[in-house]
Parts: sequence; C-alpha cells; structure tokens
Amino acid sequence: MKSAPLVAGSALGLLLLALATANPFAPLRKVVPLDFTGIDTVEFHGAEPQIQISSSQAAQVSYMDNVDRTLDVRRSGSRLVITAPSREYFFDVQLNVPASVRMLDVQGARIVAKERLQSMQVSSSKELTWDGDIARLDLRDTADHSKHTVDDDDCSCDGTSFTLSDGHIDELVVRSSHGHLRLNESDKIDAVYAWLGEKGNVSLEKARRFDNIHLLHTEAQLQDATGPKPPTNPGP
Amino acid sequence: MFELRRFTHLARAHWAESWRKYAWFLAAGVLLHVVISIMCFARERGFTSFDTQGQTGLYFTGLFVLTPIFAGRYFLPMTNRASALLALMRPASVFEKWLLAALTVGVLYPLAYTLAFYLVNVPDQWLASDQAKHHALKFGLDFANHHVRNAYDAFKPDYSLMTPWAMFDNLRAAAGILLLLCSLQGIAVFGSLYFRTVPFIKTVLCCLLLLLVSVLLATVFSSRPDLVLGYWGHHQRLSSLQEILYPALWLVFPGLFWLASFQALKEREIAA
Repeated sequence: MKSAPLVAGSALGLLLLALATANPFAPLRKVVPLDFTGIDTVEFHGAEPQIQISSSQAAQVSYMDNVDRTLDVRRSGSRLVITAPSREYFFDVQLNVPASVRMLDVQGARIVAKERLQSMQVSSSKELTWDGDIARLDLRDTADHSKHTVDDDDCSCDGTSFTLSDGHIDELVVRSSHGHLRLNESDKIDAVYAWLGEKGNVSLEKARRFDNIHLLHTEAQLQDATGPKPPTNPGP
Repeated sequence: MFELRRFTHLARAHWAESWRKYAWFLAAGVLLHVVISIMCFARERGFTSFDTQGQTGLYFTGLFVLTPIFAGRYFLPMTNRASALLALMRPASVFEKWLLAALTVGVLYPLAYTLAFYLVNVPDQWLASDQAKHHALKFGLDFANHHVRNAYDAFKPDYSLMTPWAMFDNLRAAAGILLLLCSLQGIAVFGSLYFRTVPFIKTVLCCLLLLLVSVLLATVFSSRPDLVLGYWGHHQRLSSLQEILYPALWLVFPGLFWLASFQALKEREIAA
C-alpha cells in the first residue's frame, strides 16, 4: 500500500481540520473599579473611550483583556487621571463615571448620560459625541489649530468635530478655533452659543427652527453671551 | 542508510549533471529582476519603488514565487522514464537522495537566490538612493522658497540596502516565514514525485483546490482561518489548546510533506 499519499493526505486533513475549527477565543474584559470620592474631574489620555455617566452603575473602567498591558489610573487632587499605554490595544475602553463628575478632559470620546445632569464641561482634542439630557453643557476644543493658518490653502487638517446626537439640553456652549458642530436633534436644545473659528461650521438635522442657534465670531462674544453662571448643585 | 562518502559522490554527480540547469534558472530570475527594475525606474519617481520597504517586498515576492518552482523542478527528470531510471539507479540510498534534495532546495537555493538578488538589488539601491537624494535636495530648495506642509514626508523614506532579517520584529515572525517557505517547498517536492505526468500543473491545481476547500469550510463552519494561517504574526488572544495546536500544526505540516516526499521517492524506487 502506498504510504506517501496517506502521509500527505493526513497533513492536508490536519490543516483543513484546524482551519474549520479556528474560532476566536472570546476575550475577557478586564474591569478596574474606580473610587470617585472627592473626584470632580476625569482626565483620559491615550485612547478614545466610551463614557457612561450614571450614578446607578458601578464606577469602573473596562477594556478587552487581550494584551498584557494595563491602564494607568492615578489621583491628582480632585482629578482622576487615566492613561492608556497604547491606542492600538485600548480601542474599546468603557468608562462608567458617577454624575458627581463635573469636568471631563479627553482626546475624543463618546459620552452617554444615563440621567439628566445639571452641568458638565467637556474638553476634547478629537471627535466628541454627546448623547443625553443636561441643563448646561460646555464643550471646549483643546486641539492646537494655531499652526494651520487661514492662508494655508494646502491645509488638509480637519477641525475638531462635536456631535450632539440626542438629548434635551437647556444651554449648549461650544468653543473651538476650528470646530465642526453637528446637531442631530437641534430642536431639543433651547440655546446654542458656539464660537467655531473662521473655518468652523455647523450642520443641523431635523431642524424646524434656527432662533436657538447663536454663532459667534470671537471667543470674547461667547463670554458675553453666556456670562457667569451661578454654581449648580451636583447631581444625585 | 547514510554513508558520508556515498553521499558526497552522489552530491558531486548531481552537481556535475545539474549545475548548468540551476545556473540557467538563477540567470532567468536575475533577468526578470533586471526587467522589473527597468520598468520601475522608467516610471516617474520610479526610484520610490526601491526604498528599503520596496526592496524587501521584491525579495520576499521572488523568494516565495521562485523557490517552490525550483523545488518542483528538482525531480523533473522523474517525469521521463529513461532519466527517472537513471536517477533512481544511482548508487545511493533513498534517504541520501532525499537529503540531497532537501539541502539543495531548502538551504542552497535560498542562499543562491539571495546572492543573485543582491547582484541586481545593489545597483538598484545605489541608483534609487542617489535619485532620492537629488530629489530631496530639489525639494529642499523648493521648500525654502515656498512653504509646504508635507516637507517632512519628502525626506522620510529610507533607501538603505535591505537585509532579509531586518523586517522581522522578533524570532516568532521569522519562524512563521521560514515554516511557510518550508511548507511550500515540501508540497512542491511531493507533487513533483507523486504525479508522474505534468506534475507542476497538477500540484498547482491541487493547491487551488485546497484553497477552495479551505474557503468553503471557513464559510460553512464560520471559522477564522487567519487565526491559524497568521498565527506567527498576530496578537490575537487564543485558548491554551489553540496556543499548543497551532504552532504544532505549523511544525507538523511541512514535516509531513517532506516525509511524504521521502515515501514517494522510496515508492518510485521500488516501482522502478
């Protein structure tokens, strides 16, 4: 009996068996509980997390446990600073924060408020999406657009994008020297005050009125329009 | 089974008989490389094809295309009854004949290919590096006169001479490439011994059939063949069983094909 085709056939059989049964091992999520006692500001560096603001959920940060690297979490006064060592592996970070947090400083994020908030200031240097009810939302662009001048026709840089996907907002303030503001439910926002720079723009969806949108030419006008706000009580 | 003196005689006889054939094969490869180089340089900014990354791509493309062809041609005399008898009747054991084939195909040819590649690649790299420097200088002068934002990119590509091992970040990636090459060589040698007529075409057709069956199985079982095929390159999290099975399969697969080649050679000798 010829053994050569049997040996070759067994090699092929093994290969085909391995290919047919190659299913990814479901990666676990690593969960790090967070202590927000005395914390009112959260900084997140190195990745673009999905942030849920809710007092009913446990405060924690979770991510795919597919690499032997961990997030660096440390406190600095009333700030909680979270740093991802690599954007490549930390593309799916979920952060749950309580409603007592008043400021978020991120490099892009998708933020979902699960309950109605009083006020929140969000600073971002990259694309930011907000979804949720809030009395006053202050969005700030921290990207450095100054090196790209207005005369620079060759400029291919994109501005910072702020998307308000849903939620009732009493007052929305946006400040960016080169921002794109997208309001998917603009009628649900009572007043928008936005300074978006000379190259900035606004796009609206489902808009039936425009009197609630105030586009300002300078940052100083923004200060005048919104004015100092009385301090608000933190949420539950 | 193995006697060094007999093996040396076999190697000398084989070399005396086949060196012209091998030289022509390498010369054809060199000629092809020259033609590709001329075509690339004839394009506008053609020197960009010969940055270090381009040289590496050309080297490995040639290696993975030409090495299985060379391996499939090693036992080409077996397709002819008269020359097959002559080769099989040589005073050497099957193991010695198989070992000589494995050394020629697996060690000597890749070394000879590398030398032949550098024969054309060194002048290519010289020329490309020179043209790139000239281009960068011109670009620098333009940059001084007219501010453009992507100036950094113009100076970025690396035109140093490639080395085959430079592209591997670690031993794992190198092992993956070596085992893949070894598998292709094993399949080509086995095909050339097992199929008596038009072995090369039949081997290629079998490989295509294998590819189709793999795709079919992956579709039916909703599996991810890249987990197995790309085992050495990716950083996917695998189960502990997969972590043992996949590297074992990568080692066993070429081993079994080389063993099948040995068996096929033995069976051909018995049949003769």
